[in-house]
Amino acid sequence: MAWVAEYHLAAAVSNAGGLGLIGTASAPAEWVREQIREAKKLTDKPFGINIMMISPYADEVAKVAVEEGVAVVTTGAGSPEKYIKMWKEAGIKVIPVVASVAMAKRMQRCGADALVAEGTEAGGHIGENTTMVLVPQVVDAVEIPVIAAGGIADGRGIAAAFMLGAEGVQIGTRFVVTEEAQVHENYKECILKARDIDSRVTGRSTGHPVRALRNKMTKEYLEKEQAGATFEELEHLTLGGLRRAVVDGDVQSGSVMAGQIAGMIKEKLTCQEVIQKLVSQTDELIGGKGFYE
Amino acid sequence: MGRMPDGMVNSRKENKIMLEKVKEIVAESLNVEESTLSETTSFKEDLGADSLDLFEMVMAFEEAFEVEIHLKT
Repeated sequence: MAWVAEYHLAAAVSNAGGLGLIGTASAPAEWVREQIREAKKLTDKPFGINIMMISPYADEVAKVAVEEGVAVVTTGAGSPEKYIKMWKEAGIKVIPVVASVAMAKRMQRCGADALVAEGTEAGGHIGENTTMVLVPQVVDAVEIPVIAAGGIADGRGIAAAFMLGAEGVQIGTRFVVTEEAQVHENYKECILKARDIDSRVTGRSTGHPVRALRNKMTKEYLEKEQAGATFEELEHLTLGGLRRAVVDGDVQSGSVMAGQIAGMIKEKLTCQEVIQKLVSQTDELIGGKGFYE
Repeated sequence: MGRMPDGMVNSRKENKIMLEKVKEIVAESLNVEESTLSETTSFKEDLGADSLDLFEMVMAFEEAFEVEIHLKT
């Protein structure tokens, strides 16, 4: 999660027993290096970084992962295949996010250790297929472990993911509303107040669909998109929007990215509380049934 | 529809056969009529293909021509 998943959150998640991830988005290599070093001061547990393939800094950030010794690299927005050899030689676990079966097969062939199959329920940049249909088809297509993502925020979602064949889950929106997330209170409030029907997808016409909570910006965007606005006109509405929402708290004209599951999230917790709750809810449903140790 | 990988030199006849095979694969992948495809058809602009479609087609080409195609991103 760009701007949201920085070292405080990542370290808190890892300390609580999860695998924290730092979302590097379009940040330059030196920012990423700093984030990794700061995270290591807060946790000695493994954590990872997520690298966006379309970042202009992807090459350098890929090298920083090796230089600073992160345990895991996850990737989005394209194929990471040209970096996989370098990462694996450095002992890094490589986990690309995939949105289709063909991509999953390709990533396995290129040496991925595991995959994240992320459904369209997720917040931010999304694919077309739902978690419900994507996960089992990806599971059928590959031998490496599949981590389900998109629409999961409680034990039922986790249990469902395991039913679909996943061996792990990736969770975003739920962790935005935590004490440790360095996110403006307005943003967290939006998620807390959101109902099930409150997310909108902008940018379907540009080939880069993004899910965010509806607000003044999404309304204007969708009206313009419907009327046939150009890519530049539309981009103008969203450029810098996530930063405005996360850092400045401008949740009216900013981009309040969140998943469809935002409607389920009703309280702010610590990362420790989130993970303990998720684990005990999942245990109650499918514990001792052979899905996990 | 893209250049041939470097280092491959074919006769004109082999090129024609390859193009036919490529058109067959594209038509099947994107569910379009083969007759509407030509060497200059653009995947994105003319056929509305997205990045996931590209993955499908690249893997189909790899299988059909027994080559490895490396993607930049």
